[in-house]
Amino acid sequence: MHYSMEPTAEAKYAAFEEKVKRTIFVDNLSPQVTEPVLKKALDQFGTVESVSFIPNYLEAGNIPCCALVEMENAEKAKKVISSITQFPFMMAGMPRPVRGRLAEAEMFDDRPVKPGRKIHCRWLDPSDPDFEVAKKLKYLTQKHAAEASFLLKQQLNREEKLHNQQVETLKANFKKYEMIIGVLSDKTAQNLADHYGMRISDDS
Amino acid sequence: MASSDDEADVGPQSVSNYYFVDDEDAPTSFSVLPLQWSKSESVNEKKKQQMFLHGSVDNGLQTIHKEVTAWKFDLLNEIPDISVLTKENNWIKLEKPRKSFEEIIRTVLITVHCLHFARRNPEASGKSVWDHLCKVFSLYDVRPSLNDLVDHMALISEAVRRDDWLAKSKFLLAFLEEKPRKRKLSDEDVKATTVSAFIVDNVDDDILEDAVEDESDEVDELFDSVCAICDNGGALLCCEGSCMRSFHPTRLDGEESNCDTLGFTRREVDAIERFLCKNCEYNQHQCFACGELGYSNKSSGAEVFRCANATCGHFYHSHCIAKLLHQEDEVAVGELEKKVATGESFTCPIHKCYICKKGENKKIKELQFAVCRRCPTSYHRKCLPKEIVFEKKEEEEEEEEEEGKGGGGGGEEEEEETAAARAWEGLLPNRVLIYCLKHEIIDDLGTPSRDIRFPNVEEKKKKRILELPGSSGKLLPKKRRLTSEDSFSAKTVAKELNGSYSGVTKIASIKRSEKISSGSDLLRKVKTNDAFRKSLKENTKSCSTDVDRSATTTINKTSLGDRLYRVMTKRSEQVKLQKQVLHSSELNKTMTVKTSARKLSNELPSLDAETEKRILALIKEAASSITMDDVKKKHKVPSTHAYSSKTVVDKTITTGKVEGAVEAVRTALRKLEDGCSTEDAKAVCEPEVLNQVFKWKNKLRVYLAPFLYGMRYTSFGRHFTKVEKLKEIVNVLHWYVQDGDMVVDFCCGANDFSCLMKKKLEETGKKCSYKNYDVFQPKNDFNFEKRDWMTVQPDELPKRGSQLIMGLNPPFGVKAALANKFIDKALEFKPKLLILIVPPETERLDKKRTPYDLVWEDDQFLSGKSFYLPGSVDENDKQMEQWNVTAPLLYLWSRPDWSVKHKAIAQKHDHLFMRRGGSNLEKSCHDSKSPDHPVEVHCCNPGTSEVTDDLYMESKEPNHEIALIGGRKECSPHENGDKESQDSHGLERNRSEETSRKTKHIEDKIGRGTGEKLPKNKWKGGKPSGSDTNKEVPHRSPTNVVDGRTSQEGPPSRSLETPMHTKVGENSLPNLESGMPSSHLPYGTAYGGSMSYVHEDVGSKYSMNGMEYSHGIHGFPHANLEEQSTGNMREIAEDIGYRSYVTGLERGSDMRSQVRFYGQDVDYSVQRNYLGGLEPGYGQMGPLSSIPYGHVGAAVESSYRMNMPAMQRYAPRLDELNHTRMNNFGSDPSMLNRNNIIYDSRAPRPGPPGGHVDSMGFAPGPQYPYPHSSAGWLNE
Repeated sequence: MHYSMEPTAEAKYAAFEEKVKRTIFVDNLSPQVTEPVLKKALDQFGTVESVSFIPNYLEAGNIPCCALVEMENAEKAKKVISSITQFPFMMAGMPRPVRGRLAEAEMFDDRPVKPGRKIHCRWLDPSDPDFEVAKKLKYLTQKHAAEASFLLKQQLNREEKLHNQQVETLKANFKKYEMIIGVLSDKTAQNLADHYGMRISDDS
Repeated sequence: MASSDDEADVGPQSVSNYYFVDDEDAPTSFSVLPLQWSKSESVNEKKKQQMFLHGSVDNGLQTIHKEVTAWKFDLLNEIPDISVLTKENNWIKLEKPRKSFEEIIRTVLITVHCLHFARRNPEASGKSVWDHLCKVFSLYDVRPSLNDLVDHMALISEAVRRDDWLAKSKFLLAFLEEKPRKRKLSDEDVKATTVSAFIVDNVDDDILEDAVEDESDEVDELFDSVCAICDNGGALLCCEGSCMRSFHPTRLDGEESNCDTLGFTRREVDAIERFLCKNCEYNQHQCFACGELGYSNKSSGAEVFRCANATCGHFYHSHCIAKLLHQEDEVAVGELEKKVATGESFTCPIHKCYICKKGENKKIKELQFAVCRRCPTSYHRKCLPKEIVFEKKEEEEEEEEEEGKGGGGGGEEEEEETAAARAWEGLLPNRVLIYCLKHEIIDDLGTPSRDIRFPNVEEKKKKRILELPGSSGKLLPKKRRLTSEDSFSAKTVAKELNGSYSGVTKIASIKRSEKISSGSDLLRKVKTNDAFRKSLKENTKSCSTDVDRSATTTINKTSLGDRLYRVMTKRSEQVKLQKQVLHSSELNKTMTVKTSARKLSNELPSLDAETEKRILALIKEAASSITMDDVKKKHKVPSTHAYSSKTVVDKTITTGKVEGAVEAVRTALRKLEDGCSTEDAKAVCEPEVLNQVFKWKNKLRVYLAPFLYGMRYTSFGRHFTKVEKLKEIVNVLHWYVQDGDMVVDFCCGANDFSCLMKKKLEETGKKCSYKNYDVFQPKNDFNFEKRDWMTVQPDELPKRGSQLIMGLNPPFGVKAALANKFIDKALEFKPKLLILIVPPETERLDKKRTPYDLVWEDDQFLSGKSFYLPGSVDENDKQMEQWNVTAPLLYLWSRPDWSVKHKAIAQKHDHLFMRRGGSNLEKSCHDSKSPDHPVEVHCCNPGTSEVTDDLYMESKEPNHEIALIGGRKECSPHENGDKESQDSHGLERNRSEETSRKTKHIEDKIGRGTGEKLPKNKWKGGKPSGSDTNKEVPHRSPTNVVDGRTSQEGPPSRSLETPMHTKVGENSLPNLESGMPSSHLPYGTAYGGSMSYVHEDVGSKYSMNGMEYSHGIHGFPHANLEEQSTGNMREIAEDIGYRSYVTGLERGSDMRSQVRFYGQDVDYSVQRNYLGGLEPGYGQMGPLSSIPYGHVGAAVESSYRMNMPAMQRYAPRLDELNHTRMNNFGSDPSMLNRNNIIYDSRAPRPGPPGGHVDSMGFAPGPQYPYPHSSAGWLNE
């Protein structure tokens, strides 16, 4: 049984690796982006095979969504990435562009076991010489996690700041726009222009 | 290295296409080489690095690669010569740089050209210098500006020193003297490195800002472009508030003019999105007359009031302004004071000449104003008193004096300069900046005392103003700064702390000494200070706002100290705090990092501070490694998408300005309406301001587009032509293509066009090649190259022009700017045919320098939903379509030598009818699927054709009329040539007759219109007899709601709606009763309801002309209008309701013509609607439905934009209405057959339509290619 599974597992993994190659990882998505939105958005560059959002297990709430988008082939995936990185690619009214890069195998939660890879789990006795090593590793992992979380926090702070700034600017500009529209829509400006005998260029 | 005069003929004399690289192959400017001023002088400076010249010599036959050691310039010739000295002691003249290298040497080139021009035109003003430079460097994206010169200040000053001719140049002197306060330059040598280091840091920013400023030139024309404090130009920060002032934000920016500045650091400035000055923040402004601060908040106890002029921004006490305006008349003063105090607007005396009391006219130089910066006094140029002298040659003198002062550490020259300059050109746009004679010019500042007060800091400011003249003699400008704010705050803080905490004092004193010792190290000092202040902030959270801004000027020293003191005493661990403060001061820059790290470490106990510091350092490093420039470089924007105007919008269109302008516009109109003269109104709101408002609107709209369009805006704002449309184009175009031609789609989008072309051409046995360009990756790679069309060169294509067929749908850009660019580029290839989908405002190809001949054009073909937005989905996840306001045109242009041939083809295949107006008919016939026209004929009611032709005479907009008639005319050839659809002939004939005789045509048309109306009335009448009444009535209210909304947004619709609505209600009742059995009383309401639809349609047409749901009713407005304008309407008995409706319409006469216009369209749309209902296949003709849009759209554009969201919101409801209407039709007995069909087809298609259809001449075309026909679009 084990023996017979081996080649198919390899084939499966190879297929998976192919899939990874033609998949792009899209980051910084607006919460409003749904699968059809994303699919349509990237469909203009090539055929989108599948879209899967990566759930965010670690931090609750405010982290921008990310998703894996499988394209028809690896070539296309690269082109899509270059297209959306070269120009700011906005999606669904989000004021910030999305980011895209090639996916990595670790991003897939359904990835098959790498053939030939075996993981053994066992308890370590404190007297075991490996115990200290394992402990160190454990500590290191924790530290990395803490570092990552710290970094993330910093990043989010920055982003929030930026976001607020952008929102503020946008609001201010919109207010201006409304003011102008206000004076235009009740014909005040047009009437005044008439009085001045001006030709107003209200085109474009 | 003795270079002397060896211009020996060793090696090449001149080099072109050159560039310089340093020893690491990085491009670099020759200006870093030592400059040889004269032949007699040798260059003895040690060069820091090697530099190599690359380029081609001998007319490009050879390339050279030589090490160079020095450079020089020669201003004596017609054009300035720049040469570089090779290592072999050979001077090589530089001709033309390599294109990509231009940017690198731009500043030095501009500087040299500037010197050259200034030398030859010593009298030239700043403006003419810049004009000249702009001409010379016209190819540069960024126009030459002061920033380019600032870079080479040392060079210029040295040149001026050495060259007597240059020394006479007014411009250069002004540049060196006035603007950058040249006294600092005199000891340039000493501080050369520091100064240039400063500048170098800023250069990049400045160039960018410069680009921005260039774009916004017109914007700034109207507003102050100088610092409110020191009246000098440069890098300024605009206040968002109502004061409309600008300030030098950083010390560095204000250095030249000894400006107090806002005291920000560069970084702080960058971080500020919207700057609000303290005055505006606290609503306390200075009275421009008396200088005292007063509250300016209009809503609560204002003391000072702003002048109503749009660009003024000065505030006055009511008594001050009253006194100013009515000097003698005490009664008037009292009156005005009261009026102003109660909020009545006024214009301050600035806006009238002090001498002649007349207004300003910026367009006439003599009538331009010279405006005093210290009091509300203005003069026309012609009225300017002689005593107010322009800055002139005396400056030289003064300059020398000042040089001496600067160098020698301060003589005691305090004597009053009697003829001190009081007027400056070129600082204010189209105005002269003056200080009128009331103000004493303080010699050291070159301006009168600078009395800008911010709330809270009043006292300190005053003190300093007093202080300034005294201290000036003793101290160097820089040193003087030490006494002012920067050190102030530090010192005072130190002092405050002194009593209780010795530790802190220590820091402060350390700091002070440091500052004094390194007087020139300004920047660092500021930073230190910042860090220090920040650390204080961290600890003493209470002093957040004020300190936060870190505007040194605004810190209230005592309160800061107090607060600090309070906080400190409160805290128990004083020692610790002290330590921290100490610590922070030691760390200086990293201070903030550290404190925040410490703070965070509490939350994350597992991370030690060290790690966090490391991470933060990494973040910082990473952040600093990314600069805006890098990003811009990386994201190479295609040539078509030039630098966006974002920053322009952000920084120069301030809220205050907009507010002021908008208010001024209203005030001006009110004044005019109150009978004031135009001049008075203009004093409030200059015509330019009004113009500006429109410009702003456009700018803001472009900027806000993604947000105004909301969800619609995904992707890159592209729009693709629908495949069906492309197919039709291909069907027509393929006749013109010959074997072996090449089809080039210059902006291929989804890349469908070429594929379709290929398919079609292969079917017809033609073998062609294809090439498709776009900057975005399309889904389909067929012969695609990812290229910016602008970069494609004619020789890259394998085919010559006579085998090229080019074009299709370019990006439009604002005002078709991009479309024009694309076309111009395409013309370089001289293609034999150009097929274009472009907006109407695109420059026509027969107007180009190499004109093309028009084979045919079609303005209808692409109206409506011919486009879709790639990558965008609507809320139902369907591909989002785009409806256009103004339909783009479809053109076929031919190169003149091919025109005859192409026109023959067009003739042969009946393409000529593809002209304005006629195309829809043509199209539909062409496909022989839409035998709709007969419907119209059927409906025709001859009884109503009494309507006379003066209908058109009444039209206020003859253009439209002509266009319409023209359209008809162009129909006729089609009629003759078309044999495909018998059914449409009736109509066609009608049309052609119409063209031949206008009157008849009109009659017919009206007949048709009313004819439609009549049956419909019947339907309406009949409708309630069905069970739909219930439906009908409730639906009315939503309609109204919609109308209400739209009327808000779409101005034209407003006047239409309300009146007609009520009237319709009233009139329709009796009307119905007369027409119907009395048992139908309730239907009266229903009828009214349907009328409300009518007007709703009109309204929505106006305000949301993109909607297509309402065509069914268009017969009404059409008929109404016709009737109304002729007055014949009364003859139609049933139409009482309409009459009243029409009266409603009469409101705006201009509107009338629009409405009628759109009435015209109704012919089509009505019939189409039937058809749309009848035969979804006709939906393919969907674009027909949008005939109205083209015209109406133009009239209503502005509202359209705003209405988009509303439209989306209401779409479903409107749709519902549409449905009921259809249902109602269904219940009409007289029209039963047809109605049934209509009704059914809106539901899933029923069985074969049966004999009715045939009898009516409908070819049954049961395709359902679209889920939604044109009318059913809203169902999506």
